[in-house]
Amino acid sequence: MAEIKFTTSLEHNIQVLKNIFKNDNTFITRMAKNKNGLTCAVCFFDGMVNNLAINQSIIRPIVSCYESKVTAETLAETIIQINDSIVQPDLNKMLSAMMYGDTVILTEGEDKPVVVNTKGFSVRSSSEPDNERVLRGPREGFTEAFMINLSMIRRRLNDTRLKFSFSRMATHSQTAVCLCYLDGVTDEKLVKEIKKRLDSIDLDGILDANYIAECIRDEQSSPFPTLGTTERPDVVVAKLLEGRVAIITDGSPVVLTAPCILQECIQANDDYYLPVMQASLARIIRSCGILLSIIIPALYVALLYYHAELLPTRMLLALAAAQKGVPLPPLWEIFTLLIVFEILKEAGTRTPGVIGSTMSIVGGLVLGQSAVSARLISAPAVIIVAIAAVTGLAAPKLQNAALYLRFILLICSALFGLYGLVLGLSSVLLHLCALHSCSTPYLLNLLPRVNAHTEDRAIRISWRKMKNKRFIAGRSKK
Amino acid sequence: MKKILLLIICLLMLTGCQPNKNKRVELNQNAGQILPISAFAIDKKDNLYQMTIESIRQDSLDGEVSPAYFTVKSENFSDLFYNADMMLASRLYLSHASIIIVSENIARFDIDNLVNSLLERPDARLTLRIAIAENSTPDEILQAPSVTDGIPGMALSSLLEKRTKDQTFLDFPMFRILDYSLNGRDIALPVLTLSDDGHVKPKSSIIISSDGGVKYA
Repeated sequence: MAEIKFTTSLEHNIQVLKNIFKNDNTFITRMAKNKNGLTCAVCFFDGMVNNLAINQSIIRPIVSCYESKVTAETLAETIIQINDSIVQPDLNKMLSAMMYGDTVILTEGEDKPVVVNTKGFSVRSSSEPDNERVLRGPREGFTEAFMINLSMIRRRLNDTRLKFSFSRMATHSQTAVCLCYLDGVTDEKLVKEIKKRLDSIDLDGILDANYIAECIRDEQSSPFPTLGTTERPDVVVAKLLEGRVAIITDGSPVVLTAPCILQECIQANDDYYLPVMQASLARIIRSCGILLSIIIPALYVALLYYHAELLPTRMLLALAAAQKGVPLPPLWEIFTLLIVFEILKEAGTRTPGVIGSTMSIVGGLVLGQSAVSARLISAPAVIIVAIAAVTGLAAPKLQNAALYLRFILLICSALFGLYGLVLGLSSVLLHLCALHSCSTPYLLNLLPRVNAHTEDRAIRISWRKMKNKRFIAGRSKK
Repeated sequence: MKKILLLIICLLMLTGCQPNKNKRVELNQNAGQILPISAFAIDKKDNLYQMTIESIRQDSLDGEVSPAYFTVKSENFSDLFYNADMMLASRLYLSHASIIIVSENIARFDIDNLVNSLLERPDARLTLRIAIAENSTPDEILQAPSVTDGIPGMALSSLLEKRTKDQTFLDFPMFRILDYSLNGRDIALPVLTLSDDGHVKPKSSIIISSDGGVKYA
């Protein structure tokens, strides 16, 4: 931002601000004078402020006070009746605060402005996130409002060790970013590492948490997520208790958490809100679901092309009968259907809500059923792709990885049959073994060699035992 | 980079695992058909081997599964399978065949040749069972109608499995025949015959010694 200088002349200071915000009709300067000659200029941006607070807590006290001349300190501490009111000698910070909804008060004879918290811009009300629904448990979700999000975390974690470390990032947007952690529980090295990564971000604008995520995550080329994301405050608090850090970005309801291990991608939010047996069964089903989603198209192709002897005779006959008259070989059928499914999914996401359901019917019934009836594709191929697609939704955080892996394993099995499928899976396992998230092994708690000191794995342990056996990031043992 | 190199080396090592193209079975071949073989019968007449093959067809997803038979002749077993291949649009596919019915003559004197020619094929299962036809030709036994299944060959296979489990017959799949005959030991093969109403019924087992001698179990 350009270098600006205030003087003790009120008129000069007002003019400086008007020059900076020339042609900006939302910049308002309201003069406030009392009977004894005290003159102040109240500057704010229309639409960003709480008008009632300005009227009652700033203008009224100024107009009804008896002083003829005041210092900035007196104005901030005595006259202005609002909870957050400071003298801000740094003029760049003053401008930044004003553009974020604060009000600046200038007075004659003072070159230091007073910055008052009068934020009053409209925000979306908190609601349950669409992507993270639960059967049982809290239904609050983060919004785009920064301080409201922080308050949701603070409300759930009444601990003096809870720390919020603010910073402003991006040269033009000056987006507020908060690093949140539990001092004494979170590893100090982790906090330092994340701070270092955040400081290295060099962008002109940050509009969403993903801008930060892409800049700081490990292994950019991996399809597996190495930074956790959530829109739920209860999940963030749970992760803070586990020694992770949370990164809250102003303007984004998504909070990033680090480190992220594979196990948490398979967990659901209500794993800890449901009874232990139900939650454990759900975890196992989810794990099987995602594996099935990745493997089944490749397995189908491998068995048909290379290992038909493994299929029962009547199943083989049924598959062969289904293939009769179909123009595409099974591999290309599966390939095409997987691509069409992804296109339909993308189209469904972008479609306005009103016609979304209609398009689903068109996509499912018309395309699927009619294509089979017209012998363009075979029914088994539709079934295989449908199973792969539906079971993949069991673990939404791994959908991206599942998408890539389906195609890669399909090619492997088309080339080399079951050997290729096993080679592909082995390569995936190799990749996962080598993957780290903020120096934490990605397969922590899932492989015997890299053990966290917890038994909360595929089977969720009861809350009675959880206190002493909770997973704490950074405390792994080999 | 190192990981990619390692992956490429592993892939290159697997090239030997890929089956020959002409041996790989594709479902969507010329006529879009695959012809699994469920059973076959081999006899010897006039110094020529005659093989009757029972294949299974299902023409549509809603259609019934039905057997189809065809016969080939040759002077040796290897050419028998080759001639059968030549008759089909797709390759003869033995992976689902579970029973071979032979005449007593073949069982006594040619069982080793038969087993060896089957072993030359990559798709023949080692768990194939060999049965002997008595008082009828092998193809008559093969084509005899079944009470329990629409495919006579599959019904015969089920029958042999059941009788082996309840020890009416001794358990002698192809891998055991090979093992015993290589060691000069006697083998036991089940005997099938036709009943008066034209259905297949199991009789006893025949024990065949390495010099071709037989005795009934």
